[in-house]
Amino acid sequence: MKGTILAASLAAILALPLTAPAATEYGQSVTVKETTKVSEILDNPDKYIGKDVKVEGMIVAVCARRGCWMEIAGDRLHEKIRIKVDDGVIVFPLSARGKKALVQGKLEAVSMGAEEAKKFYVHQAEEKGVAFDPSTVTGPVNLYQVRATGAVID
Amino acid sequence: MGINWHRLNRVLHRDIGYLAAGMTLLYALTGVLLNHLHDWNSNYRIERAVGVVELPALPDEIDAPFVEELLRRIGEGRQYRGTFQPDSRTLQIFLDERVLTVNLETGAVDGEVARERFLLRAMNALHLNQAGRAWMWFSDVYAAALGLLAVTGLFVLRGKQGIKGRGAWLTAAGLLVPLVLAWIFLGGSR
Repeated sequence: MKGTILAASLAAILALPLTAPAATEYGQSVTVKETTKVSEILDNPDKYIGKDVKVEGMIVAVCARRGCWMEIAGDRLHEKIRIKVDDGVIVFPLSARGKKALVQGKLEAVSMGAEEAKKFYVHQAEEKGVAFDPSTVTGPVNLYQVRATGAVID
Repeated sequence: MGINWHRLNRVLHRDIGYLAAGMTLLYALTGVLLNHLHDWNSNYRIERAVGVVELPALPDEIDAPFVEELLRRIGEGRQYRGTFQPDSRTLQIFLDERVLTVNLETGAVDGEVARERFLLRAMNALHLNQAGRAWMWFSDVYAAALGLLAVTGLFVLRGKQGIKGRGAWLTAAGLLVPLVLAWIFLGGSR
């Protein structure tokens, strides 16, 4: 009996490194079957506005204060898309950066005039601790983001 | 042998006060912390360091050997979660708790470490009701206790010092200030 328990314990301990850490779910379940590429959304945003989409990618930025937004890298070089949640509905941890995420939500467009866009990007840069030159914003901006209802993070 | 309402009121105020003291202090502290989250990040401690690295030869596309050699020259291990290029001059490398941002033209490296302030972040989450249904019900009970504390507090003292005397003025002032502020800031002056 003791030998059986010891053998089972050893097997469990040895198996630990082989067991991948479970993914963490946030918010509601991800139910949309088809994954849409970020490049497809950014190329044809009007086709997806107001619709539920599922996107995936590596998390490259997370709100360092309330965890109320994150950005995931797209399939095309240099591209990313913003994932936004209402404060407190989902809180993304800063430790998620560099991990893979699967996100479901509605695509929405946020239209900003030049001045509003400058303030937005300056605020974002402050949150990320990076420099930003407001003179690079020369006109109104349309920002596309996914208002997430659920996410799975590795 | 009727109920001594005044004594009962005093006992309720005292005992609910003791019970609610800890939670009230927690909410008071986290309330201030959350109000000033943009001035001081009570959820994370973020530290930054800058340096310069001699860049390896740039390949046409950033690949694993390049990243591993870069990390070696920076003094990091080879393990990393992933990379991202927000633009052609910048490479972000994601490690466990750290993010390295490398300027691919100058070799400037900006390293960021984000460490969770576990206890404060947990308390902030409780204040914002981010701890599940059980906490939601508990905080409802706490809110009810605070309401009872407020009402019993009105009747603790009697006479000139009580609600029929200066207490009435102080209570009215305590209600008037937030109402006036709400009226001003929520567009009541339009």
